[in-house]
Amino acid sequence: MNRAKFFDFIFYVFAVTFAVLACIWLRFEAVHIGYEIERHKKKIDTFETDVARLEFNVRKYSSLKQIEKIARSKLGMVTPRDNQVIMIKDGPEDILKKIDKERL
Amino acid sequence: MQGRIITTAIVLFIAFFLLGSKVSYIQVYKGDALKTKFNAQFIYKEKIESARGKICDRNGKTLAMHMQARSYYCMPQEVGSIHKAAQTAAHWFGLDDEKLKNMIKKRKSFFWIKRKVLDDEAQTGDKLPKGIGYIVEGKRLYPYDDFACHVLGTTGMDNHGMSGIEYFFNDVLKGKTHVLQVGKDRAGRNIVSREVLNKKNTAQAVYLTIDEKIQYFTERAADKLYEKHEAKAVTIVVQSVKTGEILGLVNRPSFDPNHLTKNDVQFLRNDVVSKIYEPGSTLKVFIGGAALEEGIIQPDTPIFCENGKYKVFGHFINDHEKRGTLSFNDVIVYSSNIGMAKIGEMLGKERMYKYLFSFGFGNYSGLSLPGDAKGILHHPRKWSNLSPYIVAFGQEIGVTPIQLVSAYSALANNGVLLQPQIVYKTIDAEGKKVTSFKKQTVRRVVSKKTSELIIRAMEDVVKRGTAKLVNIPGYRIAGKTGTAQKRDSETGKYSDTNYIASFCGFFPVSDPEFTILVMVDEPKGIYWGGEVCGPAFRDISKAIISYKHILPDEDKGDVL
Repeated sequence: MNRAKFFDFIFYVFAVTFAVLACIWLRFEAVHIGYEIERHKKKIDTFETDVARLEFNVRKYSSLKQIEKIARSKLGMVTPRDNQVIMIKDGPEDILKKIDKERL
Repeated sequence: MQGRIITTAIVLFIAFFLLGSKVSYIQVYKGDALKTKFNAQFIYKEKIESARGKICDRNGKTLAMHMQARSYYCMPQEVGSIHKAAQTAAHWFGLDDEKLKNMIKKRKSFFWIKRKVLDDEAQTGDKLPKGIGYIVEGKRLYPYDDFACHVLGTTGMDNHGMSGIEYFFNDVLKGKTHVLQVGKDRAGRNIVSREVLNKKNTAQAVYLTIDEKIQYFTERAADKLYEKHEAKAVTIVVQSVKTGEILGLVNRPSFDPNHLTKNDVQFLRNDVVSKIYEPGSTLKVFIGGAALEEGIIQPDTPIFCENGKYKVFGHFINDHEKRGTLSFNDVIVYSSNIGMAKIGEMLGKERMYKYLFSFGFGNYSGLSLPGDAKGILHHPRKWSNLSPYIVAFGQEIGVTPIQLVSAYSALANNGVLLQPQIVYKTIDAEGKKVTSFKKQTVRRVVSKKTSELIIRAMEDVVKRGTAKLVNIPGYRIAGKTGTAQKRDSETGKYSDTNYIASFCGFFPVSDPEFTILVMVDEPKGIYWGGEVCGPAFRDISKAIISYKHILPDEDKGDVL
C-alpha cells in the first residue's frame, strides 16, 4: 500500500467514524430537545393553570351576587321603587350612538 | 518525524476503528434487540384526557371550568421515615397526622392522601418526602358556587358528568381520551414524541341559553321565597316566548357543586324536568283554550257556578268563593273550579285529552337535561266519569314545570308550541362553532284568535282577579294562579294543609317575550298562588324590564 492510498484509507475511516458520531450526536440532541420541549410544555401547563386560576378568581369576585352585596353593604345602594324609575324610549346604547353622532 | 505521524495515525485509526465497530455493533447489530428492551422498560401507554370543556352562559360568561390539580398518593413500602412523612403530609393537607401514620403502617399498597388539590389549597414544599408522590389531574370548578347548579350539574372524581349539562353533554365536554405511547427515561422524565405533540384537544365548550343576569334575578327571587315561606322547595323557570330558550332555571334547595356533600345528593334532582305534580288552576287556561278553539264557548258565555258547591257522581266540587253565574272570562279570572268542571263536561274526555297532549302534557319535553319526565296524562280509556270534571281544574293529571311553562309560552306565541331548549351552541377548542341549536316548532295547538281570547282572560286575572300582586304599572301581564292541594301519599286523599302555590304568566302582552313560572311547594302560612308567587314574578319581571329595556305596553316611552 503506497503512502497516498494509506492516507486516503485513513481519511475514509475518519470520515465514516465522524459520520457515525454525528449521527449519535444528533440522536442525543433530539432527546435533549425533547427534554426542552417537555420542560416548556410543563411551563405552558403551569401558565395555563395560573390563567385558569386567575379567570376563576375574576369570575368569583365579579359575580352579580358579590357585586350586589358590596353595592348594598358598602355603597349603601338600594333597589329603586316603581315611581323612582323612568323608562325612556332610547336605551343606553341608542343614547351613546346619538352622542357619538353629535360629536362627529 | 514521518514514522511518528504514521504511528499516531495507526493508533488513532485503531482507536476510531474500535469505537466505530462498537457503535456499529450497538446501533446496527444489537439495535433492534436493545430497542425492544428499551421499549419494554421505558415506553408506557398513557391515557391522556382532553381538558374538559367550559360551560358558559349565552353571552360567554364562564359558569364551569377546568383546572389542573395535583392528586397526592402514598406508597407505604417506599416511605423512609413514617413519622416524618405523616407529619409533613398532615401539615400540608390539614389532616390528622396520627391517622395518616396508622394508614401508612397498616396499608401495604398505594393509597390516595388527598385528590385534586389546587396550588393555593395546600402549602406543599418543593421536595416531597420519600414514598409520597403526586399526579396531575383535571378538576372541575364552578366560580359562582351554587349558581345555576341544577342546570350545570356535577362531575365525579373521574371527571364524568353525574347530573345536569355535565351529564347530558358528557361526551361533548369530555372529548376523546388519547391512548399514547409515552417514553420515559431513567429519571422518569417524558421523552417527547411526535404523537404526543400532535395530540389535539377534542373537548368542546357548551354555551347555554341561560342568561347570567336573568338567572341571577331568578335565583335572588327564589332565595327570598324559600326563606320567607319556609317552603319545602321552590322552582322558577324563565323561558323566551319566541324561541323556547330557557333563560333562567332555579330550584331550591340547592347545592354547591364545588363541595358536594353526601347530604346534597338528595338535591341533585332537577325539579323543573323531573317533578311531577298536579298543576291545579294553572291548567284551566288550556281547557278554556280548547273549549274556545272548539267553539263550545265564547268569552262571554254564561256559566252557572252553583254558588260554590257542585255534586257530580257523588263527589263534591267546591269553589273558594261562592259565585252564581259567571262569564267564561270570569270563570278564569276568579278561578272557579265549578265553572271549569262544567266546561270540562262540555268538552268531553277525547277532546280534552287531545288538546292537553298537543300542549305537551303527558310527553317528554325534550329539554336537554337528564331526568326529563313524561308526567301523567292517562288515555281517555282509563278516565272515570268524574275525570273530565276534575282534570279541567288541574287534578288527576301530573305535569312537570317545564311542560307547564312551555305550554304557557305556546299560548303567548299565538298558539304555536316550541321545543324548549337549554343549549345554544357548542364550540371546539379553537373557538369554531360545532353545533348550533336552532328554534324548533313542535306544532300549532290553537289558532291565533283563540290564543288572543284566552290571553285576554289571563290579563284580567292580573288586573282584577287572583293575581293582582303581579301588576306592574304601565305593563300588560297575563297569567294564571294555581293553589293545588297536595295528595297525601299515605291516605291517598287531598291534604288540607299542604299546597303547591304557583303562578305562570308572560309579558309584555302587546308582544310577549318572557314566560315565567314560579312554584312554591308547601309554603308555610299563606298558600294562595297569587299571594305567594305573585311578588316573586313581579320582582323578576321588573328586573328583566330594566335589564332588557322593555318599554311599557300602554304608553311607550312614558314613565314606568
